[in-house]
Amino acid sequence: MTRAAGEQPASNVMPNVIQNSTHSTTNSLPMRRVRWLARCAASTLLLTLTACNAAPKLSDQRTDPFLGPERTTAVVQEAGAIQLDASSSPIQAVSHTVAAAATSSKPALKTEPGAAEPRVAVHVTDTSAAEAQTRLASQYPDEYVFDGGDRALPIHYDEHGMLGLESEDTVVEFADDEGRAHVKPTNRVAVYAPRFAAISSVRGTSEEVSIGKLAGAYQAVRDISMNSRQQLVGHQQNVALSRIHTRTRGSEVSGQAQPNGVDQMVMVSGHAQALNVFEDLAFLRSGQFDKTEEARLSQAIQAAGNWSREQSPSIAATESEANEIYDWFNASEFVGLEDLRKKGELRIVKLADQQVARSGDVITFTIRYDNTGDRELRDIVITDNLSQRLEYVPDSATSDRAGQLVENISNDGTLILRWELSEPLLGHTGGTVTFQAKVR
Amino acid sequence: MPRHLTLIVAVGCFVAAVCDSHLFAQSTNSNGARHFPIDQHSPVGMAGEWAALRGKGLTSPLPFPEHQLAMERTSRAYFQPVRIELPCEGTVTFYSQPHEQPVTKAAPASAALLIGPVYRLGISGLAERPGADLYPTVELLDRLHPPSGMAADFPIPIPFTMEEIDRALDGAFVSKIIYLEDPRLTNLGLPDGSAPTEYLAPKLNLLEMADRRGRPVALVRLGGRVPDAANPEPGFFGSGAPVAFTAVTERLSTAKSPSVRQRPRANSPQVATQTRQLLKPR
Repeated sequence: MTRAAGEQPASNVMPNVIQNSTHSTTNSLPMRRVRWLARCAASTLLLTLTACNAAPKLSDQRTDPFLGPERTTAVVQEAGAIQLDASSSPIQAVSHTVAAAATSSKPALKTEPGAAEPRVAVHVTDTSAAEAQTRLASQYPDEYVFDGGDRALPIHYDEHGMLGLESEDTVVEFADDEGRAHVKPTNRVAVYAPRFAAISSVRGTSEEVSIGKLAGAYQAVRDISMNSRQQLVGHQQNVALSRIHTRTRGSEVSGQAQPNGVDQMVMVSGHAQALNVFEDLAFLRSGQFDKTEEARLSQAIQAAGNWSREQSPSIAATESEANEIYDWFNASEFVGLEDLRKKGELRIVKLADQQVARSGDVITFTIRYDNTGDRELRDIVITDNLSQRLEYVPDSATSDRAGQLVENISNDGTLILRWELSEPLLGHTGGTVTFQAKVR
Repeated sequence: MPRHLTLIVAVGCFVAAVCDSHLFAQSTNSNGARHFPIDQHSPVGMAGEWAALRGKGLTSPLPFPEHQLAMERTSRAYFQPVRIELPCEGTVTFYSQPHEQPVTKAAPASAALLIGPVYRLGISGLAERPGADLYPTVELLDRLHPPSGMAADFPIPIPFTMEEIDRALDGAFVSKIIYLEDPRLTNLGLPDGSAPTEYLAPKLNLLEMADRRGRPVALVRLGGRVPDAANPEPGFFGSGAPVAFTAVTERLSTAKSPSVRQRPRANSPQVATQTRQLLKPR
């Protein structure tokens, strides 16, 4: 079943691809559930549609002569390579291959106008077979040729540039609309391509010489005496001290302080007290009560009583001053622009047109990238460090977007292909780069 | 549990405890190098037997120690396709069970063998060595795990070079290990499409050397010894293990061997740093 990508929404083009998490981006749980449900729906639709057209393919069944008929499975000739990183996806079995326009040797993508959305075909294979194959590739990696993903040391950066790009690694670098840089690996493609070698040794009786008896070992060790005299050389150093005599004479200060004592004897010569007018009473002078002084005494006693009262009316006066506050409020206006568009998110998928290969076979690899967000992405660079088992076919790299291809050799001798796209990638658009490699 | 079965399990547990880490690596010395007690000079069949005890020849892996059981190993025996390749035209004879007639096929000859037993082959009818008859032995040490239904498309190649045949005819004894290359240790200078053979000194342990380069899958011994027709030796023609022949292997045998066909070898691109503009469709 072949379906052009333009006939269906972009979200259904690659329903089974596991989104490799961008290093600086996190997906929320509800969004993942929504994506998972969407993928399930797309997978179910594709399975149904494929079942209707699967009769010619099922007729091409092969029976494993060594495993018995119970292990016979359908062989889908157009099936792509194994997506190892998509093992956790519930629709893992759905594999993708780029349609003939993209996988054929002729560079159709180079000249096809408006090829921003290349035609992508989706094929469905047996779920159990795909899972079993993925498991086998993980258990016996020496029988496979891998390409893609981020193997061993993760991609990281220092002041000199990218580090951790090993053989088989394929990553994409891009910047979002805010200028923040991101790096993201592709999925890992596994192609079954075992390669053998042999080591041999020849042993002939006519050539073998053996020594069954030790001829002896002679070792003369002669001690050579060595006299060594070491004479101590005395080292004497006279240091003439320049003596400095310092005499300090204390300048005594002597003082005599004579107490100037002043003695004065004060003798009480007498005491005179003048009574006040109100005290001019006989009672006060002599202590005898005179009847005539009763009124004045009563008045004085009452006056004294007033002062001795514990509670007396008191007046407290408070003066409050009214304060007036003047304030002026200036009308202010804040203007903001909120971008409700979804941030740009790059999805990248790597595919191979063959599931198995032998030495000398040419494999066409396709790297499909899509901006699933609304905002644009810039500075997109796709870097692929080929495996040692893959030999790049010269001038086979293509791209449906403008840019340049840089070929370089790594320190390990592997070839590094680097696609540098010159134009930003708008939201909900994508592109494809392809190249061919021969299996060594 | 029957008594003999208990004894088999006990022996299997003992052997597994001894060689569980690796078939040819039982221990490590102070330098971290592994010890390989088996080499190409070990008795015939020892390497294959140890591989079978480790469950290498099963259709599906079994948990320990079930793969030690002979019954399980028999019921789950996996026939690994092999392809015998000769440097020139010739015939290859497969000797299987005593009551069956040997099967002779033109080279490259394909068949499926079990992992572990010793198989005797017969090489004769060599176009460049008329009258020469050789009887090599083959022990499979491991199997491949190709995609389902494609086992016959990926046999283990067992090539014999003319130099090896000549040395064997001169009376020498040739030992050979076929191994699966580690993809990250691939020798890029070797030609593609065939199993390149590297000759090492006989004092070296070929199994250890092969284990460093990848995964040993077959041990081949080739000498000048021929069966005595007057006094036939019962064990000369192998252990009597079955050999599988199918239509798929027949189809594979008719295909040209990678060692025979001449592929134009592509020149390696001598690129230092090349930059070219990609076409813009618009």
